[in-house]
Amino acid sequence: MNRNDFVMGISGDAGEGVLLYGDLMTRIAARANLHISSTQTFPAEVRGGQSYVQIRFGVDSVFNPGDKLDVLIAFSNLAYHWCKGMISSGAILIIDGEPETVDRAARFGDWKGGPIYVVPMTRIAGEEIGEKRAKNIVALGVTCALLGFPADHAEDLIRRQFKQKGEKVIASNLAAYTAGRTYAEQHIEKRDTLTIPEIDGDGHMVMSGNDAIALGALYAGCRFYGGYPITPATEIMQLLADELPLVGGTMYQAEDEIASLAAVLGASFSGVRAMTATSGPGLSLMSELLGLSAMAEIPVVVVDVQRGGPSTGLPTKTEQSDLNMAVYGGHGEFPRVVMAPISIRDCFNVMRRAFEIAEFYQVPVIVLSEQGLGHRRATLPRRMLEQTPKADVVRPLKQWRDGYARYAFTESGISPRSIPGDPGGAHVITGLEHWDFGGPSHEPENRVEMVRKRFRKLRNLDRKYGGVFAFKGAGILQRHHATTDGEAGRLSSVEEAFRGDIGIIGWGATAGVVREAVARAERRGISAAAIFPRMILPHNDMTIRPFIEGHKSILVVEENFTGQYAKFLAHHYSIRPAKLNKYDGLPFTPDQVLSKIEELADHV
Amino acid sequence: MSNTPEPQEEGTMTTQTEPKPKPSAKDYKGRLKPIWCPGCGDYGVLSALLAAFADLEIDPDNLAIVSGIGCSSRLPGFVKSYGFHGLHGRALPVALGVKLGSPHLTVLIVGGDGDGLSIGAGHFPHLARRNVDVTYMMLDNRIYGLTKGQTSPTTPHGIWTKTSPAGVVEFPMNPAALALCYGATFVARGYSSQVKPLKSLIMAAIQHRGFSLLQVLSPCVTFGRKCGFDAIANSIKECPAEHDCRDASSAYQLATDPQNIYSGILYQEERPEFISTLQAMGGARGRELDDGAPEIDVDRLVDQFS
Repeated sequence: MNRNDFVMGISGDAGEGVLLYGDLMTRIAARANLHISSTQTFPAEVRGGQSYVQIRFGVDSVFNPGDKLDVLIAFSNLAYHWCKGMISSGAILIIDGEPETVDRAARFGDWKGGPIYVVPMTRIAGEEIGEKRAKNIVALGVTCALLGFPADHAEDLIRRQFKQKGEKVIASNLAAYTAGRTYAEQHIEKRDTLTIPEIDGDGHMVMSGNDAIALGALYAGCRFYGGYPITPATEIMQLLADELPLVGGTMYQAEDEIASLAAVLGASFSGVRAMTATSGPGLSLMSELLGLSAMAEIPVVVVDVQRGGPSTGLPTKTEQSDLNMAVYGGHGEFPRVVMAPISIRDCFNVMRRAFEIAEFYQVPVIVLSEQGLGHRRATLPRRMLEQTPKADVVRPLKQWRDGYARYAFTESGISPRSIPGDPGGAHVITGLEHWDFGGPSHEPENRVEMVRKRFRKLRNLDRKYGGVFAFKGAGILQRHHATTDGEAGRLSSVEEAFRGDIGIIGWGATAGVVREAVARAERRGISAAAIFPRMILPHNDMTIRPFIEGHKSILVVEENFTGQYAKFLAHHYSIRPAKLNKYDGLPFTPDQVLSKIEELADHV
Repeated sequence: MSNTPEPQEEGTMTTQTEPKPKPSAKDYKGRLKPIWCPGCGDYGVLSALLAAFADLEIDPDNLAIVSGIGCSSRLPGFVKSYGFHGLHGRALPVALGVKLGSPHLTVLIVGGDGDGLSIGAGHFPHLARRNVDVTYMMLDNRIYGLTKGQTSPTTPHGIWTKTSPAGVVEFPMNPAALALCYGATFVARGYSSQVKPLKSLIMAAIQHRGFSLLQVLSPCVTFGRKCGFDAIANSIKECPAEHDCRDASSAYQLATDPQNIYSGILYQEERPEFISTLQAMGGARGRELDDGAPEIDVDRLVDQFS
């Protein structure tokens, strides 16, 4: 077991407080200057079924929640059975039970790991605190003591967590935590070597992908959010419900997803940066309005936190199966931009670009996240929020000349946009095909010019916003067409990633796993590299083509059945890439990607 | 390219323009000429509307008319103002977004009975109960006119239409009664042939602070001839003088009266308006943030996520 990089799983019934345990644990670790990457999975119902959190701890940045468990916290025997097959050799088990009376041979005969600590969590919570439900906090105290986390961070976090519930609840949870620690210190003889390293620093922030999208939007000048609750996107709406009014903005909960996007279009027409976030079923309902956004040239940002589909599908599980809908969905043909953030940091960053593009090019921008990213948490530097500049919120009123035409033909295809309130800028926008001044028109010549004008807008978009994230060995870089942007750029040269045996192309949230698989492959002597486009549509041929041409074998990794991006690339390049697909609702692990790389390496 | 654009923008606004003379209805005429059939009720509605704008001296630059799809939804093109001719059934949520985006605007919704009671029926209750300060003019012609004569949610029972060859099986919806049930704070009914009273109703609806529904009976002369408008011309009555429009149950009785169709203000009440309630809590400033926006509290956020 490597104390500088280890994985913990927490398992219990839904309703047993697994998610809260996980949330507090990640923050405690972040305050102790460890990096974390965590994921959670829970049933669609509020109670019943398994809740599970997996946290990876690292002295250096960790980009995914890892593979096998080094520590398993099981809240029940059933929880133990769910997870006993997921462990590494030597794993530690901490489980609820009576240490004196438990029949270890019968209960843990199938345990393939290391030390087992049977801890009477429920009894301590019931007898000492008078609240059996506090067993998750007891367990937290036990774990913190065993791993060597100081008590003060946890206590501070518990106070904050229960602040709204009053002093009594705070006190009983603090007592539960202390009871757990005391029990561990007095009754558990530590039989493992896992203690966290001491690291200097002033701690990290912990954010989920959904949090990062909401804050990214806030920083990008978004002041209107219209939405409808839907798993797994709702946290974006909830955070903005708190934050937007504080900066004069609006979070509007509409009656359905159609009304959400309609209100967003209305607010954007009025000159406010506006967005919605949804999941697959909501995006299906919004598709007609996406076409209106493009036709009427009203900027809009739509985030799709994908889940397993089709229909109601797997609401709480992850999938990358809305790519086709984002790229091709809706009737008629219209320009649009599709982006897919690759990490939680990128969730924050991508929103700025999404709003800039939407506003400048007057097009809909779809941001494809997914449950596995939206609900994943990672540590981010505290300075990120301090150092990120904030976008302007609204532009001042402008006076327009006589004869102003909303859809004036221009070289770039982008027409100057007046906003209600602007003197002289009155116009009617319409979803009908229209003349340059906005009046309806089905005149053939004008139709042709208008279609061309709309598509012309995106002609140079990928020069400014395109490029890829490239991974080779332990390196990452962002390659643009003209320049390389040195974000953590440890790759010695751009070209290095673009030549080799196995070239992996992925999109979105799988990047955290793929980059680790690529690094491990290199340690095994396999030449492999990976790229993830910063923008899926418009497709950036100038960066993807040399990567494809520079590799002997191309592998497309994505979480869907039909290989949507693989088909997209196959169509562009007349290639038949190898595919690695997963559609069981769970994210890839590095091992799964590595196995496929090894399999391909044998045939190169 | 067939067209080279002129420079469009004159610059940032610095001073107010000088006071203008009192506007007339003509000043609100849009660039397009109406394309409705000769004799269409919507002409009467348009002239009442333009006269109401003039009487209220509404600034066209601060007026937004939002519509759906249908004959009546073409109206924004015939008015000089900002307009949003969007999707079938979606005018209400769009209008709410426009108003939240620019709370200082006068926002008017125009749509038909099919737009508002069929495809868009799910939005009507929610705008009403929120009491957003917008005016919703439902131009009710009791038929689908633009698609040439199919059954609408207000087509009378038993009438032959192209999609009800054996006569309409369903019973019609009553928009004024629904608005009352949905919690609208202003409910009125007018008739396109009575332009002057209609103008007064439009003015009252616009001036009402909150959600106002104005059902305007506006006959379709091409496809709606059998829809009972001849009878309406004779039977439409003003609300009795003794009617107290703060009395919801008597308003409901008038709205659903089986013999007479009552016009006028059926109901009106004062209730906190949606956007001003949000504004009192600091939010919903929309484009008014131009006057200075509150800063993001970075320290608090860093703390919250640590």
